[in-house]
Amino acid sequence: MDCSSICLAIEQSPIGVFMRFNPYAFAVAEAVHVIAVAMVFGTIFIVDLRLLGLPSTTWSMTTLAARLLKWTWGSFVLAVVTGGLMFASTAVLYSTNIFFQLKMVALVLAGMNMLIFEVVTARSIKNWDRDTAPPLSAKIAGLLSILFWVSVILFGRWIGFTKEVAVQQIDFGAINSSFF
Amino acid sequence: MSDFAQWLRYTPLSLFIQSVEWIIPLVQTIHIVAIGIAIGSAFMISARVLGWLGTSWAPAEVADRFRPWLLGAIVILALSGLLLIVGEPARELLALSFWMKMTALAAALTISLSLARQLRRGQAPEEAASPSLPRLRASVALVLWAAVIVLGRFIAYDSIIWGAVSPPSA
Repeated sequence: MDCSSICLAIEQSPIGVFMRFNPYAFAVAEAVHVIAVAMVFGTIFIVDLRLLGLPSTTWSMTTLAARLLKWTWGSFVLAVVTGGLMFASTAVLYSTNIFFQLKMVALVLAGMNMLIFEVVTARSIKNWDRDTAPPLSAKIAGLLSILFWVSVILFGRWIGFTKEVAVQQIDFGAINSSFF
Repeated sequence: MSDFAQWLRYTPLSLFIQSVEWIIPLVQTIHIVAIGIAIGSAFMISARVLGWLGTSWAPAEVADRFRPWLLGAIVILALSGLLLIVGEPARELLALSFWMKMTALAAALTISLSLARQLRRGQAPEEAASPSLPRLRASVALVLWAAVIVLGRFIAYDSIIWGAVSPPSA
């Protein structure tokens, strides 16, 4: 993946410079990112379990999805914004980090899984909305969703451990200058 | 605490965790997945009290569905958290953020479980004579759970965040 010129522009932008040199900005963005990711996973996990027919099918699938997915999407937007800020801090290093790339692949897979479910499987939803075992295709969608989102968290956490090198490369002398 | 951390650092389990580089990120991943389940469950309990989930799900149903997940996630969080402490004792035990996190966690869990208990008694919050107190507690619980996550992440930045207030060598 080569985005070196775009990524360089991103990290040299005022936001990129701020995220790189302000001593609190990255930590705060990361903390909010974890809240957002936890809410994305926590809410979509409940929907995914229901697709598997767990813990029961007594709650309407459509009602559950309608009540929960707006929180999932809201949290996802927050995760993208905070993740984007973290990315801007050292965009070139992120874009070349294998775990960042894998995380993006897992996100795309999670999105495709959701799309296929909405376009194909959800069309028959009135037949299994409640008190009926979901069809195999729904169960597979639920299982894949859990798998992809856990992968997103796994790869995301691994970025922090493989970017150690990147952190050391930051000119810490500059942090004490007048950037903030 | 410093002596304890120093002792813990040289126990066989700690030395083992330190020697295998993928253990800490893997356990942290499990920790984050579990906190997602915990905050999702705590969110549902608070959201039912706050009326964000409508009223068609009975209060007791919501509590019975999510209380076991909250408790199960807390067990996984405690176990994975213990491994993280054993693996990096000074990083955790000498961090101000860690002890603030534990305080926030105790408060958040107490309030969420008490809200669940209220819901299980079948008390529909929207029908309560004075709905403002449960609503306040439900909101405070959500803020505290968010604080648990923020403080958990701040352990990694303890001296940067708290400056001189952060214990030395944290």
